Amino acid sequence: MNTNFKLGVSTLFILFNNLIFSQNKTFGGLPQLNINKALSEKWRLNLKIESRNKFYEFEREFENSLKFQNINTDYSVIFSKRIGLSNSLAGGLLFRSGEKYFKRRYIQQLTLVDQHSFFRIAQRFLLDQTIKINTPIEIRFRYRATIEFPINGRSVDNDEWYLKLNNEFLNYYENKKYNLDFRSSPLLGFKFSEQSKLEFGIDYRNESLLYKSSKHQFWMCLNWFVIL
Amino acid sequence: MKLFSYILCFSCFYFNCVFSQVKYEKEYRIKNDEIPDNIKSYLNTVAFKNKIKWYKEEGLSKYTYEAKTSHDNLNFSIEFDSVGIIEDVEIEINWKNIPELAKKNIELYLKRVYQKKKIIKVQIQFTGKPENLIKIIKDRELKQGLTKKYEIVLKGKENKKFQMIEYLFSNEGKFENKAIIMMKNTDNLEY
Repeated sequence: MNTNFKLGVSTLFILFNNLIFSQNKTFGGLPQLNINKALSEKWRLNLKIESRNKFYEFEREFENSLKFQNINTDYSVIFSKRIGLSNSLAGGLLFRSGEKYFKRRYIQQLTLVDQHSFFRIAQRFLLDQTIKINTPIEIRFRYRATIEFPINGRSVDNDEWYLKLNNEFLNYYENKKYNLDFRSSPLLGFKFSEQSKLEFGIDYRNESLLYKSSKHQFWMCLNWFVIL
Repeated sequence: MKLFSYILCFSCFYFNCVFSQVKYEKEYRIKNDEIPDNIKSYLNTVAFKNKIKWYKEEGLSKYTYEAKTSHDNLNFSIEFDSVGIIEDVEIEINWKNIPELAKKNIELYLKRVYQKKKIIKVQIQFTGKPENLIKIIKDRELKQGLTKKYEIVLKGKENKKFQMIEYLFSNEGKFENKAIIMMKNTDNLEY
């Protein structure tokens, strides 16, 4: 066996070993409605509703729970200003309503989009502060890289399929403790028209990479992007 | 009558200068067997070492076939009309490889228009008779009977507004045409 192959297999094993043998897994659904409206040539408004629903949880050996549970619903309002050709600065507010709690989150983000001959790459730098009653403030810095490429042709046109891959690192600081999450989501999208796109796929999240035992979450995504 | 002619001439000139086209195209990949036979037989005389990727481009009133391949370490784009007659051959080059005089004229023109700009892509465009165009694919030195132009795609800031534009300049670097490239919506990459 050649050395590069062995090295590749070992790396993959180390990366996924934790995922395969970990007993802390959650499976669920994460549908999202994303409404966008151009307010002027430079300003835009984004409204998002996202519902997180747990279908299955594998906690300890022989203790699996199979039950539907609505964990929370997010409502967000974000205003963005276009800077340059396809970059944007944005800021807004997110409200999260859970079973017994209510959070609000302030969001500031910078997105840089590059159009290449056959694909698009976006980088998102996001800072947010989450406030919940009787809980220390949580501050997170997120970096997400997205690549989108058409399945047919050199750009995504109407009535065409595309692939999108998100990779995100979340650094967060809460109660004087730092931690790191990793998220990755391969998505398959379809562009119905300039006003409507639908994406579906898996959103994998690995929570608490540093100090606690990893929690692996698999959310089935269904994202509908609408322009009014 | 004379006044009317002046107004007409001025209007034509004015509209030509002020308005630029918007580039609207829908393109998609097609298989080799969907290409008209006359295109296949036309290109059969060239020994392409790499695979040809075929695209169909649909504009507002017409459609074309486009072959893209890498040949002799150059990126080629060969466009045919809907009945399979070759329209042009485009070869991607670096900005620095444009001859000095043409480059100077293009630079002067762009400097007058843009406060800021970034060149994205430069192509030499050859047009002419099919029997002459096939020669340029085989050998870059055989340019007889062909018209050479430069197609430049750039990102530029004009009147405080950023746009992506495709320009066409003559062999001497004189402005001929421009088309605004419509940017695709980026909402699904931002949120």
